Amino acid sequence: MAESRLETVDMFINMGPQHPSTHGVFRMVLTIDGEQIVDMKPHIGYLHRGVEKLAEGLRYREVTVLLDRTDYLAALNNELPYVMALEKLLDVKVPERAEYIRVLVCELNRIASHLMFYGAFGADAGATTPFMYAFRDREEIQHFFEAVTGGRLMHNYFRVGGVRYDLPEDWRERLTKLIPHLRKGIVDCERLLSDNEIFLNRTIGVGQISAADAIDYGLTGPNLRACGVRLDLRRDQPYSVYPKLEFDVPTRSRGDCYDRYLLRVEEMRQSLRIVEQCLEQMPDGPSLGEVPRVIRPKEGEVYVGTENPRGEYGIYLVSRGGDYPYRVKVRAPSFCNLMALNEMMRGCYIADCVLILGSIDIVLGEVDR
Amino acid sequence: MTEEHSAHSVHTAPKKEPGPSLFPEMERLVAEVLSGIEVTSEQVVDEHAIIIDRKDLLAVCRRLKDNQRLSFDLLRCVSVVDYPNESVFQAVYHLYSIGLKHRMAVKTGIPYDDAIVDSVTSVWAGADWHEREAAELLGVEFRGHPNLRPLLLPDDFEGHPLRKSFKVPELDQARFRRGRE
Repeated sequence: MAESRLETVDMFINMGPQHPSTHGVFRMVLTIDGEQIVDMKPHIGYLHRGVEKLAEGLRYREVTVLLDRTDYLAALNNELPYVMALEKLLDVKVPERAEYIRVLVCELNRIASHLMFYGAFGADAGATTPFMYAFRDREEIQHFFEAVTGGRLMHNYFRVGGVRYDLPEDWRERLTKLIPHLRKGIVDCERLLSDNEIFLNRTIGVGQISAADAIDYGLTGPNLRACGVRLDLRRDQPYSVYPKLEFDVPTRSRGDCYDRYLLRVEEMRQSLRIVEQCLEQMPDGPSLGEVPRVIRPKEGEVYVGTENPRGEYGIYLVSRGGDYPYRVKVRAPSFCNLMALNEMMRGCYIADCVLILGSIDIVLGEVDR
Repeated sequence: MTEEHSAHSVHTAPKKEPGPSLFPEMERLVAEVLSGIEVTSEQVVDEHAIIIDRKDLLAVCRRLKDNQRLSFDLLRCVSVVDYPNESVFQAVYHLYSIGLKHRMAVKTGIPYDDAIVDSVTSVWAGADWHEREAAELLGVEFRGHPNLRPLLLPDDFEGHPLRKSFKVPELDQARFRRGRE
Protein backbone atom coordinates (compact mmCIF):
# COMPACT_ATOMS: atom_id res chain seq x y z
CA MET A 1 0.00 0.00 0.00
CA ALA A 2 1.25 3.41 -0.87
CA GLU A 3 0.30 4.99 2.49
CA SER A 4 2.38 2.65 4.57
CA ARG A 5 5.53 3.87 2.90
CA LEU A 6 4.87 7.48 3.86
CA GLU A 7 7.24 8.51 6.57
CA THR A 8 6.50 11.04 9.25
CA VAL A 9 9.13 13.54 10.26
CA ASP A 10 9.26 15.09 13.71
CA MET A 11 8.90 18.82 13.64
CA PHE A 12 10.25 21.41 16.02
CA ILE A 13 8.28 24.31 17.37
CA ASN A 14 9.93 27.04 19.33
CA MET A 15 7.91 28.79 22.01
CA GLY A 16 9.27 31.80 23.80
CA PRO A 17 11.21 33.40 25.35
CA GLN A 18 8.93 36.27 24.39
CA HIS A 19 5.61 34.57 24.35
CA PRO A 20 2.53 35.95 26.06
CA SER A 21 1.66 32.69 27.74
CA THR A 22 4.99 31.49 29.07
CA HIS A 23 4.56 33.39 32.37
CA GLY A 24 7.84 35.20 32.00
CA VAL A 25 10.88 34.66 29.87
CA PHE A 26 10.85 30.93 29.36
CA ARG A 27 11.56 29.13 26.14
CA MET A 28 10.64 25.63 25.22
CA VAL A 29 11.46 23.72 22.08
CA LEU A 30 8.74 21.21 21.32
CA THR A 31 9.30 18.17 19.19
CA ILE A 32 5.98 17.28 17.68
CA ASP A 33 4.56 14.41 15.74
CA GLY A 34 1.45 15.79 14.10
CA GLU A 35 -0.46 17.39 16.94
CA GLN A 36 1.23 15.47 19.71
CA ILE A 37 4.21 16.48 21.77
CA VAL A 38 6.98 13.90 21.60
CA ASP A 39 9.54 15.79 23.59
CA MET A 40 10.04 19.18 25.18
CA LYS A 41 13.34 20.89 25.87
CA PRO A 42 13.16 23.76 28.31
CA HIS A 43 15.59 26.68 28.10
CA ILE A 44 15.90 28.84 31.15
CA GLY A 45 18.28 31.47 32.43
CA TYR A 46 16.94 34.57 30.69
CA LEU A 47 16.28 36.17 34.05
CA HIS A 48 19.43 34.98 35.80
CA ARG A 49 20.74 37.77 37.98
CA GLY A 50 23.17 35.80 40.08
CA VAL A 51 21.27 36.21 43.32
CA GLU A 52 23.50 33.69 45.10
CA LYS A 53 26.67 35.51 44.09
CA LEU A 54 25.23 38.92 44.93
CA ALA A 55 24.19 37.66 48.36
CA GLU A 56 27.84 36.93 49.15
CA GLY A 57 28.57 40.63 48.74
CA LEU A 58 25.76 41.89 50.97
CA ARG A 59 25.55 41.97 54.70
CA TYR A 60 23.29 39.47 56.37
CA ARG A 61 20.42 41.90 56.87
CA GLU A 62 20.48 43.06 53.27
CA VAL A 63 19.98 39.69 51.62
CA THR A 64 16.18 39.66 52.07
CA VAL A 65 16.06 42.38 49.39
CA LEU A 66 17.40 39.90 46.86
CA LEU A 67 15.15 37.07 47.97
CA ASP A 68 12.09 39.27 47.46
CA ARG A 69 13.07 39.37 43.84
CA THR A 70 13.25 35.64 43.31
CA ASP A 71 9.63 34.57 43.67
CA TYR A 72 8.12 38.02 43.34
CA LEU A 73 4.56 36.78 43.70
CA ALA A 74 5.19 35.41 47.16
CA ALA A 75 7.97 37.66 48.40
CA LEU A 76 7.10 37.38 52.07
CA ASN A 77 7.20 33.60 51.89
CA ASN A 78 10.74 33.77 50.52
CA GLU A 79 12.03 36.00 53.26
CA LEU A 80 10.84 33.58 55.91
CA PRO A 81 13.31 30.68 55.41
CA TYR A 82 16.23 33.06 55.22
CA VAL A 83 15.49 34.89 58.46
CA MET A 84 14.69 31.55 60.10
CA ALA A 85 18.06 30.17 58.99
CA LEU A 86 19.83 33.21 60.35
CA GLU A 87 17.95 33.01 63.63
CA LYS A 88 19.05 29.41 64.01
CA LEU A 89 22.68 30.33 63.46
CA LEU A 90 22.47 33.28 65.84
CA ASP A 91 20.27 31.49 68.35
CA VAL A 92 17.84 34.41 68.46
CA LYS A 93 14.38 34.05 69.96
CA VAL A 94 11.48 35.50 68.04
CA PRO A 95 8.61 37.04 70.07
CA GLU A 96 5.32 35.28 69.67
CA ARG A 97 3.57 38.30 68.22
CA ALA A 98 6.19 38.53 65.50
CA GLU A 99 5.68 34.85 64.66
CA TYR A 100 1.95 35.41 64.34
CA ILE A 101 2.46 38.45 62.15
CA ARG A 102 4.78 36.44 59.92
CA VAL A 103 2.30 33.61 59.54
CA LEU A 104 -0.53 36.07 58.93
CA VAL A 105 1.20 37.89 56.09
CA CYS A 106 2.65 34.68 54.64
CA GLU A 107 -0.77 33.09 54.39
CA LEU A 108 -2.28 36.22 52.86
CA ASN A 109 0.60 36.20 50.42
CA ARG A 110 -0.20 32.57 49.62
CA ILE A 111 -3.77 33.53 48.81
CA ALA A 112 -2.58 36.44 46.65
CA SER A 113 -0.20 34.12 44.83
CA HIS A 114 -2.82 31.44 44.27
CA LEU A 115 -5.25 34.10 43.01
CA MET A 116 -2.63 35.13 40.50
CA PHE A 117 -2.35 31.48 39.46
CA TYR A 118 -6.10 31.23 39.22
CA GLY A 119 -6.37 34.26 36.96
CA ALA A 120 -3.50 33.28 34.72
CA PHE A 121 -4.62 29.68 34.50
CA GLY A 122 -8.09 30.78 33.46
CA ALA A 123 -6.53 32.93 30.77
CA ASP A 124 -4.38 30.00 29.64
CA ALA A 125 -7.56 27.95 29.26
CA GLY A 126 -9.10 30.69 27.16
CA ALA A 127 -11.32 32.37 29.76
CA THR A 128 -10.56 36.03 30.39
CA THR A 129 -13.10 36.76 33.10
CA PRO A 130 -11.37 34.83 35.93
CA PHE A 131 -8.40 37.14 35.58
CA MET A 132 -10.58 40.14 36.45
CA TYR A 133 -12.11 38.40 39.46
CA ALA A 134 -8.75 37.23 40.73
CA PHE A 135 -7.21 40.66 40.44
CA ARG A 136 -10.14 42.34 42.12
CA ASP A 137 -9.54 40.23 45.22
CA ARG A 138 -5.77 40.22 45.01
CA GLU A 139 -5.87 44.00 44.99
CA GLU A 140 -7.56 44.02 48.39
CA ILE A 141 -4.73 41.90 49.79
CA GLN A 142 -2.21 44.25 48.23
CA HIS A 143 -3.90 47.17 49.98
CA PHE A 144 -3.50 45.38 53.28
CA PHE A 145 0.17 44.68 52.51
CA GLU A 146 0.73 48.31 51.62
CA ALA A 147 -0.60 49.30 55.02
CA VAL A 148 1.52 46.70 56.82
CA THR A 149 4.81 46.64 54.97
CA GLY A 150 4.75 49.78 52.85
CA GLY A 151 5.23 47.83 49.65
CA ARG A 152 3.09 45.96 47.19
CA LEU A 153 5.44 43.33 45.85
CA MET A 154 8.91 43.81 47.30
CA HIS A 155 8.17 43.99 50.99
CA ASN A 156 11.54 43.53 52.68
CA TYR A 157 9.52 43.14 55.84
CA PHE A 158 10.99 40.28 57.84
CA ARG A 159 13.93 40.94 60.10
CA VAL A 160 16.15 38.68 62.11
CA GLY A 161 14.22 38.27 65.34
CA GLY A 162 10.87 39.54 64.11
CA VAL A 163 9.37 41.93 61.62
CA ARG A 164 10.28 45.44 60.63
CA TYR A 165 7.13 47.28 61.74
CA ASP A 166 4.32 46.25 63.98
CA LEU A 167 0.90 45.99 62.35
CA PRO A 168 -0.88 49.30 61.69
CA GLU A 169 -3.37 50.49 64.29
CA ASP A 170 -6.45 49.65 62.24
CA TRP A 171 -5.26 46.23 61.13
CA ARG A 172 -8.12 44.42 62.88
CA GLU A 173 -10.78 46.45 61.09
CA ARG A 174 -9.00 46.03 57.79
CA LEU A 175 -8.66 42.29 58.24
CA THR A 176 -12.24 41.82 59.44
CA LYS A 177 -13.37 43.45 56.21
CA LEU A 178 -10.86 41.61 54.05
CA ILE A 179 -11.64 38.06 55.19
CA PRO A 180 -15.34 37.92 54.14
CA HIS A 181 -14.42 39.69 50.94
CA LEU A 182 -11.87 36.99 50.10
CA ARG A 183 -14.19 34.20 51.16
CA LYS A 184 -16.83 35.45 48.76
CA GLY A 185 -14.15 35.98 46.12
CA ILE A 186 -13.07 32.35 46.30
CA VAL A 187 -16.69 31.22 45.87
CA ASP A 188 -17.02 33.49 42.83
CA CYS A 189 -13.84 32.09 41.39
CA GLU A 190 -14.98 28.53 41.86
CA ARG A 191 -18.33 29.23 40.25
CA LEU A 192 -16.62 30.53 37.14
CA LEU A 193 -14.33 27.58 36.50
CA SER A 194 -14.64 24.55 38.76
CA ASP A 195 -17.78 23.14 37.16
CA ASN A 196 -17.41 24.79 33.80
CA GLU A 197 -17.77 22.05 31.22
CA ILE A 198 -15.33 23.53 28.73
CA PHE A 199 -12.79 23.97 31.48
CA LEU A 200 -13.30 20.42 32.71
CA ASN A 201 -12.80 19.02 29.22
CA ARG A 202 -9.64 21.02 28.77
CA THR A 203 -8.04 20.08 32.07
CA ILE A 204 -9.13 16.64 33.30
CA GLY A 205 -6.56 13.99 32.41
CA VAL A 206 -4.26 16.56 30.82
CA GLY A 207 -0.65 16.78 31.94
CA GLN A 208 -0.80 13.87 34.34
CA ILE A 209 2.14 12.79 36.42
CA SER A 210 2.31 9.84 38.79
CA ALA A 211 3.19 10.23 42.45
CA ALA A 212 6.36 8.15 42.04
CA ASP A 213 7.61 10.28 39.16
CA ALA A 214 6.71 13.46 40.97
CA ILE A 215 8.76 12.50 44.02
CA ASP A 216 11.63 11.37 41.82
CA TYR A 217 11.77 14.76 40.12
CA GLY A 218 11.62 16.55 43.45
CA LEU A 219 8.21 18.12 42.97
CA THR A 220 6.88 19.81 46.08
CA GLY A 221 3.95 21.92 47.12
CA PRO A 222 0.55 21.86 45.42
CA ASN A 223 1.96 20.06 42.38
CA LEU A 224 3.00 17.12 44.53
CA ARG A 225 -0.12 17.14 46.68
CA ALA A 226 -2.23 16.99 43.52
CA CYS A 227 -0.69 13.54 42.93
CA GLY A 228 -1.90 12.34 46.30
CA VAL A 229 1.29 12.79 48.32
CA ARG A 230 0.56 14.59 51.56
CA LEU A 231 3.74 16.60 52.02
CA ASP A 232 3.33 19.98 53.63
CA LEU A 233 6.31 21.31 55.53
CA ARG A 234 4.05 23.50 57.68
CA ARG A 235 2.78 20.28 59.16
CA ASP A 236 5.59 17.75 58.62
CA GLN A 237 8.50 19.92 59.72
CA PRO A 238 6.58 22.35 61.91
CA TYR A 239 8.01 25.84 62.19
CA SER A 240 6.91 29.21 63.50
CA VAL A 241 3.46 29.00 65.14
CA TYR A 242 1.93 26.57 62.66
CA PRO A 243 1.61 23.80 65.29
CA LYS A 244 -0.81 26.05 67.19
CA LEU A 245 -3.03 26.61 64.17
CA GLU A 246 -5.66 24.34 62.74
CA PHE A 247 -5.68 23.66 59.05
CA ASP A 248 -6.11 20.77 56.67
CA VAL A 249 -3.64 19.67 54.05
CA PRO A 250 -5.81 18.87 51.06
CA THR A 251 -4.65 16.36 48.47
CA ARG A 252 -6.03 15.13 45.17
CA SER A 253 -5.27 11.88 43.42
CA ARG A 254 -5.07 12.19 39.64
CA GLY A 255 -2.17 14.60 39.34
CA ASP A 256 -3.55 16.35 36.26
CA CYS A 257 -4.14 20.02 35.47
CA TYR A 258 -7.60 20.02 37.02
CA ASP A 259 -6.35 18.57 40.31
CA ARG A 260 -3.56 21.10 40.50
CA TYR A 261 -6.11 23.84 39.93
CA LEU A 262 -8.69 22.58 42.40
CA LEU A 263 -6.09 21.93 45.06
CA ARG A 264 -4.96 25.54 45.01
CA VAL A 265 -8.52 26.77 45.36
CA GLU A 266 -8.90 24.55 48.42
CA GLU A 267 -5.58 25.81 49.78
CA MET A 268 -6.84 29.36 49.60
CA ARG A 269 -9.69 28.34 51.91
CA GLN A 270 -7.26 26.73 54.34
CA SER A 271 -5.03 29.79 54.29
CA LEU A 272 -8.04 31.93 55.06
CA ARG A 273 -8.74 29.72 58.06
CA ILE A 274 -5.21 30.32 59.29
CA VAL A 275 -5.58 34.07 58.77
CA GLU A 276 -8.76 34.03 60.83
CA GLN A 277 -7.05 32.17 63.66
CA CYS A 278 -4.18 34.64 63.58
CA LEU A 279 -6.71 37.44 63.94
CA GLU A 280 -8.23 35.75 66.99
CA GLN A 281 -5.05 34.58 68.66
CA MET A 282 -2.74 37.52 67.96
CA PRO A 283 -0.89 38.12 71.23
CA ASP A 284 0.38 41.47 72.47
CA GLY A 285 4.03 42.16 72.87
CA PRO A 286 7.00 43.30 70.86
CA SER A 287 7.19 42.65 67.15
CA LEU A 288 10.98 42.49 67.16
CA GLY A 289 13.07 40.48 69.59
CA GLU A 290 16.39 41.33 71.12
CA VAL A 291 18.88 41.14 68.32
CA PRO A 292 22.54 42.08 68.28
CA ARG A 293 23.16 45.39 66.55
CA VAL A 294 25.64 43.81 64.18
CA ILE A 295 24.67 40.48 62.72
CA ARG A 296 27.75 38.32 62.82
CA PRO A 297 26.85 34.65 63.23
CA LYS A 298 29.40 32.13 64.36
CA GLU A 299 30.81 29.60 61.95
CA GLY A 300 28.22 27.12 60.93
CA GLU A 301 25.64 26.18 58.41
CA VAL A 302 21.97 25.43 58.30
CA TYR A 303 19.35 24.38 55.79
CA VAL A 304 15.83 25.65 56.29
CA GLY A 305 12.96 24.73 53.99
CA THR A 306 9.53 26.28 54.30
CA GLU A 307 6.26 25.81 52.49
CA ASN A 308 6.07 28.45 49.83
CA PRO A 309 2.92 28.69 47.64
CA ARG A 310 4.86 26.81 44.96
CA GLY A 311 6.52 24.20 47.13
CA GLU A 312 9.56 23.96 49.31
CA TYR A 313 11.61 27.12 49.35
CA GLY A 314 14.92 26.21 50.92
CA ILE A 315 17.85 28.28 52.04
CA TYR A 316 21.22 26.68 52.68
CA LEU A 317 23.18 29.28 54.58
CA VAL A 318 26.88 28.85 55.33
CA SER A 319 28.65 31.22 57.65
CA ARG A 320 32.37 31.36 58.31
CA GLY A 321 32.14 34.32 60.63
CA GLY A 322 32.27 37.90 59.46
CA ASP A 323 29.62 40.31 58.25
CA TYR A 324 28.85 38.63 54.96
CA PRO A 325 27.26 35.26 54.29
CA TYR A 326 29.76 32.77 52.91
CA ARG A 327 27.26 30.96 50.74
CA VAL A 328 23.53 31.33 50.21
CA LYS A 329 22.05 28.54 48.16
CA VAL A 330 18.45 29.05 47.15
CA ARG A 331 16.38 25.93 46.57
CA ALA A 332 13.60 27.41 44.50
CA PRO A 333 10.46 25.29 44.18
CA SER A 334 9.67 26.36 40.61
CA PHE A 335 13.18 25.39 39.53
CA CYS A 336 12.55 21.82 40.67
CA ASN A 337 8.94 21.70 39.52
CA LEU A 338 9.96 22.73 36.03
CA MET A 339 12.14 19.63 35.68
CA ALA A 340 9.00 17.49 35.61
CA LEU A 341 7.38 19.51 32.83
CA ASN A 342 8.69 17.25 30.08
CA GLU A 343 7.19 14.25 31.84
CA MET A 344 3.81 15.97 32.03
CA MET A 345 3.78 17.18 28.44
CA ARG A 346 4.86 14.07 26.61
CA GLY A 347 1.95 12.66 24.63
CA CYS A 348 -0.25 15.73 25.07
CA TYR A 349 -1.48 18.00 22.30
CA ILE A 350 0.30 21.23 21.41
CA ALA A 351 -2.82 23.15 22.31
CA ASP A 352 -2.48 21.92 25.89
CA CYS A 353 1.16 22.77 26.45
CA VAL A 354 0.37 26.33 27.49
CA LEU A 355 -2.20 25.00 29.91
CA ILE A 356 0.17 22.46 31.44
CA LEU A 357 2.86 25.07 31.88
CA GLY A 358 0.31 27.32 33.57
CA SER A 359 -0.84 24.53 35.85
CA ILE A 360 2.53 24.07 37.56
CA ASP A 361 2.52 27.78 38.36
CA ILE A 362 6.11 28.77 37.75
CA VAL A 363 7.70 32.11 38.51
CA LEU A 364 10.72 32.60 36.32
CA GLY A 365 12.28 34.94 38.82
CA GLU A 366 13.00 32.04 41.12
CA VAL A 367 13.72 29.53 38.38
CA ASP A 368 16.58 31.66 37.08
CA ARG A 369 17.48 33.50 40.29
CA MET B 1 39.68 9.98 40.43
CA THR B 2 42.61 9.57 42.78
CA GLU B 3 42.20 7.52 45.92
CA GLU B 4 44.70 9.23 48.16
CA HIS B 5 43.18 12.66 48.56
CA SER B 6 42.42 13.64 52.09
CA ALA B 7 40.52 16.80 51.25
CA HIS B 8 37.14 15.18 51.70
CA SER B 9 37.33 15.71 55.41
CA VAL B 10 37.05 19.49 55.17
CA HIS B 11 35.27 20.70 58.27
CA THR B 12 32.92 23.57 57.91
CA ALA B 13 30.48 22.91 60.68
CA PRO B 14 30.66 24.95 63.88
CA LYS B 15 33.60 23.68 65.89
CA LYS B 16 31.59 22.36 68.76
CA GLU B 17 33.06 20.62 71.76
CA PRO B 18 32.73 16.90 71.15
CA GLY B 19 29.68 15.82 73.06
CA PRO B 20 26.57 13.73 72.77
CA SER B 21 25.13 13.74 69.28
CA LEU B 22 22.11 15.95 68.67
CA PHE B 23 20.42 13.19 66.74
CA PRO B 24 21.63 9.93 68.31
CA GLU B 25 18.78 7.86 66.91
CA MET B 26 19.45 8.99 63.37
CA GLU B 27 23.19 8.63 63.77
CA ARG B 28 22.85 5.04 64.93
CA LEU B 29 20.45 4.13 62.13
CA VAL B 30 22.58 5.73 59.43
CA ALA B 31 25.72 4.04 60.73
CA GLU B 32 23.91 0.71 60.66
CA VAL B 33 22.67 1.16 57.10
CA LEU B 34 26.04 2.39 55.87
CA SER B 35 28.09 -0.28 57.57
CA GLY B 36 31.27 -1.00 55.65
CA ILE B 37 31.55 2.58 54.39
CA GLU B 38 33.73 5.16 56.07
CA VAL B 39 31.43 7.81 57.48
CA THR B 40 32.20 10.85 59.62
CA SER B 41 29.32 12.39 61.50
CA GLU B 42 29.05 16.14 61.71
CA GLN B 43 27.09 18.38 64.04
CA VAL B 44 24.88 20.73 62.10
CA VAL B 45 22.33 22.95 63.78
CA ASP B 46 19.15 21.05 63.14
CA GLU B 47 19.82 17.86 61.24
CA HIS B 48 22.15 14.91 61.14
CA ALA B 49 24.96 15.30 58.62
CA ILE B 50 27.57 12.85 57.42
CA ILE B 51 30.77 13.35 55.48
CA ILE B 52 31.75 10.60 53.08
CA ASP B 53 34.42 10.02 50.51
CA ARG B 54 33.25 10.88 47.02
CA LYS B 55 34.00 7.40 45.70
CA ASP B 56 31.25 6.09 48.00
CA LEU B 57 28.69 8.71 47.05
CA LEU B 58 26.49 6.63 44.76
CA ALA B 59 26.51 3.62 47.06
CA VAL B 60 25.62 5.77 50.06
CA CYS B 61 22.79 7.54 48.26
CA ARG B 62 21.32 4.27 46.99
CA ARG B 63 21.37 2.74 50.44
CA LEU B 64 19.89 5.81 52.09
CA LYS B 65 17.08 5.85 49.56
CA ASP B 66 16.33 2.13 49.40
CA ASN B 67 16.53 1.28 53.08
CA GLN B 68 13.04 0.87 54.52
CA ARG B 69 13.81 2.57 57.81
CA LEU B 70 15.44 5.60 56.20
CA SER B 71 13.75 5.80 52.78
CA PHE B 72 15.10 9.20 51.78
CA ASP B 73 12.95 9.51 48.69
CA LEU B 74 13.09 13.26 48.17
CA LEU B 75 16.26 15.08 47.20
CA ARG B 76 15.58 18.57 48.45
CA CYS B 77 18.67 20.33 47.26
CA VAL B 78 22.18 19.90 45.92
CA SER B 79 24.53 22.70 46.90
CA VAL B 80 28.18 23.03 46.07
CA VAL B 81 30.32 25.34 48.18
CA ASP B 82 33.76 26.60 47.26
CA TYR B 83 36.51 26.58 49.92
CA PRO B 84 39.56 28.12 48.23
CA ASN B 85 41.74 28.00 51.37
CA GLU B 86 41.42 24.24 51.47
CA SER B 87 41.39 24.02 47.63
CA VAL B 88 38.24 21.98 47.77
CA PHE B 89 34.59 22.10 46.80
CA GLN B 90 32.05 20.55 49.05
CA ALA B 91 28.88 19.07 47.59
CA VAL B 92 25.99 18.93 50.04
CA TYR B 93 22.91 16.81 49.44
CA HIS B 94 19.89 17.57 51.59
CA LEU B 95 17.59 14.59 51.85
CA TYR B 96 14.08 14.18 53.15
CA SER B 97 11.82 11.22 53.68
CA ILE B 98 8.20 11.99 52.86
CA GLY B 99 6.81 8.93 54.60
CA LEU B 100 8.97 9.01 57.73
CA LYS B 101 9.21 12.82 57.92
CA HIS B 102 12.89 12.96 58.75
CA ARG B 103 15.84 14.67 57.16
CA MET B 104 19.60 14.54 56.87
CA ALA B 105 22.50 15.89 54.85
CA VAL B 106 25.27 14.07 52.99
CA LYS B 107 28.48 15.90 52.23
CA THR B 108 31.46 15.05 50.16
CA GLY B 109 34.62 16.89 49.25
CA ILE B 110 35.79 17.43 45.67
CA PRO B 111 39.41 18.58 45.34
CA TYR B 112 40.26 21.43 42.97
CA ASP B 113 42.77 19.48 40.92
CA ASP B 114 40.32 16.69 40.16
CA ALA B 115 36.95 18.40 40.26
CA ILE B 116 34.75 15.49 39.37
CA VAL B 117 32.11 13.61 41.29
CA ASP B 118 29.51 10.98 40.46
CA SER B 119 26.14 12.27 39.38
CA VAL B 120 23.23 11.14 41.55
CA THR B 121 20.67 11.54 38.74
CA SER B 122 20.40 7.75 38.58
CA VAL B 123 19.15 7.77 42.19
CA TRP B 124 16.98 10.90 42.11
CA ALA B 125 16.04 12.29 38.69
CA GLY B 126 15.54 15.64 40.39
CA ALA B 127 19.29 16.08 40.77
CA ASP B 128 19.48 16.90 37.08
CA TRP B 129 19.25 20.69 37.06
CA HIS B 130 20.89 21.14 40.44
CA GLU B 131 23.98 19.42 39.08
CA ARG B 132 23.89 21.26 35.79
CA GLU B 133 23.72 24.50 37.69
CA ALA B 134 26.64 23.55 39.93
CA ALA B 135 28.67 22.37 36.94
CA GLU B 136 28.14 25.69 35.25
CA LEU B 137 28.48 28.07 38.18
CA LEU B 138 31.31 26.28 40.01
CA GLY B 139 33.00 24.19 37.36
CA VAL B 140 32.53 20.79 38.96
CA GLU B 141 32.00 17.85 36.64
CA PHE B 142 29.32 15.29 37.40
CA ARG B 143 30.24 11.93 35.97
CA GLY B 144 27.33 10.01 34.49
CA HIS B 145 25.05 13.02 34.15
CA PRO B 146 22.91 12.55 31.04
CA ASN B 147 23.06 16.12 29.82
CA LEU B 148 25.59 18.41 31.42
CA ARG B 149 25.03 21.43 29.19
CA PRO B 150 25.03 25.00 30.56
CA LEU B 151 21.72 25.92 32.15
CA LEU B 152 21.50 29.49 33.36
CA LEU B 153 24.32 31.52 31.85
CA PRO B 154 24.57 32.85 28.30
CA ASP B 155 26.32 30.50 25.90
CA ASP B 156 29.37 32.73 25.50
CA PHE B 157 29.91 33.30 29.22
CA GLU B 158 33.39 32.52 30.48
CA GLY B 159 34.32 31.50 33.98
CA HIS B 160 32.47 30.02 36.92
CA PRO B 161 30.80 32.88 38.79
CA LEU B 162 30.13 31.15 42.10
CA ARG B 163 33.80 30.41 42.68
CA LYS B 164 35.32 32.70 45.24
CA SER B 165 38.06 33.56 42.76
CA PHE B 166 35.47 35.04 40.40
CA LYS B 167 35.42 38.70 41.32
CA VAL B 168 32.47 41.00 40.72
CA PRO B 169 33.92 44.54 40.74
CA GLU B 170 30.64 46.13 41.84
CA LEU B 171 30.44 43.92 44.90
CA ASP B 172 34.01 44.65 45.94
CA GLN B 173 33.41 48.38 45.52
CA ALA B 174 30.29 48.16 47.63
CA ARG B 175 32.27 46.42 50.36
CA PHE B 176 35.04 48.97 50.08
CA ARG B 177 32.63 51.88 50.41
CA ARG B 178 31.35 50.42 53.63
CA GLY B 179 34.88 50.59 54.90
CA ARG B 180 35.21 47.12 56.28
CA GLU B 181 35.83 43.68 54.99
